[in-house]
Amino acid sequence: MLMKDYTPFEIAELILAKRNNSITGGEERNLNEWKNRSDRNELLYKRLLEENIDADAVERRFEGYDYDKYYKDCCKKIDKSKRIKSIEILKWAALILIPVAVLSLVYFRDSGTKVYQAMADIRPGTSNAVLILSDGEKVTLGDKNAGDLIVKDNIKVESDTLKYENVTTEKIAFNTIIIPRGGEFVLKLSDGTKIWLNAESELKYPVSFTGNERKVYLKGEGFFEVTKNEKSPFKVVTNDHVISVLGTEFSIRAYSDEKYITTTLESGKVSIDAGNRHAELHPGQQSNVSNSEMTVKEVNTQLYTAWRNNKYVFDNQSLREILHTLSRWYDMEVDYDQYNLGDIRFTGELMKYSNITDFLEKLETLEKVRFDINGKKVRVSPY
Amino acid sequence: MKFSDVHIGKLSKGDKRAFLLLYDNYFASLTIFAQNFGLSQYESEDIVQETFCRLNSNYNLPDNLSAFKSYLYTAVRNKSLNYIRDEKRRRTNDSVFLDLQDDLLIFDKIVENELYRQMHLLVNELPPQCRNIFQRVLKGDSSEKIANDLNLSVETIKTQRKKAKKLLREKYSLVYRSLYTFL
Repeated sequence: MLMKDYTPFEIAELILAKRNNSITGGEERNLNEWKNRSDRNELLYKRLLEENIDADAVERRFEGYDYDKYYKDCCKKIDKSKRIKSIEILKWAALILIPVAVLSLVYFRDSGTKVYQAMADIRPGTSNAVLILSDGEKVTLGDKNAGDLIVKDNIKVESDTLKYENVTTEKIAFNTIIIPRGGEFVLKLSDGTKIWLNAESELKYPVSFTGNERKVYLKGEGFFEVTKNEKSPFKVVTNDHVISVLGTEFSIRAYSDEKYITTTLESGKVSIDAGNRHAELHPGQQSNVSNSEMTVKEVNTQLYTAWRNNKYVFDNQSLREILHTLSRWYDMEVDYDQYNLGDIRFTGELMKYSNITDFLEKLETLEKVRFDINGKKVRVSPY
Repeated sequence: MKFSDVHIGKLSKGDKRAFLLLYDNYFASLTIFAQNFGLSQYESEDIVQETFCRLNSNYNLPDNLSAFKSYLYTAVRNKSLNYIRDEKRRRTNDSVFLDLQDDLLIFDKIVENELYRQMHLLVNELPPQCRNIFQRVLKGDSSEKIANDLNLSVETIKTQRKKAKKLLREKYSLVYRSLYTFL
């Protein structure tokens, strides 16, 4: 189930409403749900709600804070900046032809107000996909509100998961699931293997497994929780890159527009064959394969698998990598004013279903880059 | 009056009324928040002042209040941490500062700070005379003393106290709950 990510402001509002006895049933359920998530939350809840904070204590907290002088200073600065602005405009008008100046004023005024109207165009992705059956029929999956859907005998959709149960076929029939930009979907195969597919990915798989191996074909990014079956190894194939597993959890990233095919192992054991290279991974290890060159290193697997748990985590990654990853999910385009802005490194995380602008604003507060959003385009410029 | 969504855009245009509301609603709270990082009141005030003044001509502000608050708290937090780093000050208690880089702790601090801020606003929304009398009552002054100080009749003070009680009971049962004995 999706857990809502509360801001401290929402929690403060809920606690205030509770103190005021003006809380609604739904709000109270949310507050209790949040409280029960951790001991830490419960402690805060008790401290702010059950202890008696009296008005006297509230007022004393704010004693001795006088903003008057600061407000006046700020007003002076505002006046000054207005004067400077008008002087600059006059200079321009004098130097350049008046029509040009007028045009540019109109342009700047427009762009100033448009930025935030346009923000709504970039939205987080949703659970959606297209399923292609073995006879070529296409079925659109998604829209959680539509309820469960039975695609065919023993093939059904429950919430965000496509399930295959007890499917038996005489000859091998393949289905393909395609996840567009801004989409994600979960797949449960006939052997119980569960696969989380990220945006812009594609998986081809048999509706039921026969013979001595279970083979699926991946483009893009997926997290696999493979059901153990020693008699029939599970294989994930991308071009000539083959991962063989018995039963395990791992993540693969194999986008055709990225240099490496990356496999990150959370538990169990997998072996990888690419061209004439071969490696075996242990939990916590990651392989990167490019043109049959293969490297294996130890990593913090969380960074590579968090997307499955509705989160993107970035650790000292370049802005280019970060925005490239996010653009698949938010279906946006990124332009850099200067190429090297993309090399600046950031650490941070965001919940997949949150608004991208909140995340970009956090990056802006570091005062290295600035973001302007226009439609589905994000422009990166120096701060 | 409460600072609301509509005032955010006006800050960018240097609207002084919007700035007054911003100072009234957030200056003290954010200053108190910054002091959590081990800064003095004076240093904290400077940091909040710098944050506020930069809002003028900033056309990239979020357009909803919740995101705007988050922006303010984040900006104050980052400026505070930068300040401490830049000054390379010897900290008397390093652990206090380090703990406060912890997001969970920051979350708790913001919840607490916001709760106090909103409660304070409730009192501030009382009519001026009512509020003045109310605050004197909080200090423990008797109706007679307040009447004497303000050059009003004891009867007026008692009426105002009743009025405050009624207003607070209607809207703000939280304050009323703990003030019952006073009024």
